[in-house]
Amino acid sequence: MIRRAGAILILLGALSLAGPVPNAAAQNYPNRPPSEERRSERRPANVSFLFAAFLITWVAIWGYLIAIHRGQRRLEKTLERMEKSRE
Amino acid sequence: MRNERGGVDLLMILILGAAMTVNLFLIFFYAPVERTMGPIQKVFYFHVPSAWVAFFAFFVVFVSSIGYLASRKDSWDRLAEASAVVGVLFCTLVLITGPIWAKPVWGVWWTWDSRLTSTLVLWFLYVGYMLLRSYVPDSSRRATMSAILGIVGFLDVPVVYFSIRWWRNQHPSPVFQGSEGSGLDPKMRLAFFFSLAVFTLLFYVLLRLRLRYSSMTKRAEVIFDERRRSV
Repeated sequence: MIRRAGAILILLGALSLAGPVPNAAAQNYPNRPPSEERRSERRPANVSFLFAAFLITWVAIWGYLIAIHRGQRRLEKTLERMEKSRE
Repeated sequence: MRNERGGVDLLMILILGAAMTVNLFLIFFYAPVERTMGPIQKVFYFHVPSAWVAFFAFFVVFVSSIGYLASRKDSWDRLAEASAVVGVLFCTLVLITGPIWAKPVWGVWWTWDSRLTSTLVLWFLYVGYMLLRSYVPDSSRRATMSAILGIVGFLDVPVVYFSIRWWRNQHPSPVFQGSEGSGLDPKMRLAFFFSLAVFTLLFYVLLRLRLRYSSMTKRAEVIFDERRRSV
């Protein structure tokens, strides 16, 4: 389940690099002056890279949390074994 | 009981994963692109919540340090230590995302204005706090000294927060309750507050994991001490 969730996130990142993110500004501000529209239209590739960067960072943080959790579970078992052998 | 705690941790990590995905969707597909700065303004949704969590973490250090000095209970000291570590992590994120945002908008990575300088001082204070903890071997002395630093260090947090109101700055004025005309588009506001909630949850999960780690370290120390004595 965890691996599947990670794979979905990575796939989303790959898709974001493959195609530009829709220009939300153009949708939300239909009456914007043309110069500003041009400015935001020039940058969709940057949004994709920014999105990919943040997605990768999120996946890395999440994977790190899972790794810490698993490590702690292993350590917990070892400690319990040691405490039992002490008794 | 211990297994239950591990189960709660895993559940929270899974909820956090889902919340992080929704957060990315809201930031990049729901919230509109800011008119003046363009897509780089998206850093705002990571930069400001990181700062909020860092302040909150240092507030927890402050409260637990007072708690330790008043009661001399180890649990307060452990909470202060765990919160300081997580706070430094988020303060580091603030100092990384800030220049990434500043370079395209201001044209420079860094400037010595009051907000940036006081944030850097805050980071140094809590890195110093962690160094102090690692250099003092006696646990009771370490806890007392770090509690004092935890209280004194927190004095910088209001300075960081109010610096953009007290002095003229390169850093933008507050978005909420700032100058006239400040505020956010409703979609931006939703994305921002959701991001704030996700970062707070991330802080809570990291704090729990860190506290669990420190309680296991203590248990291991007890076992090793007994073994040493018996040999």
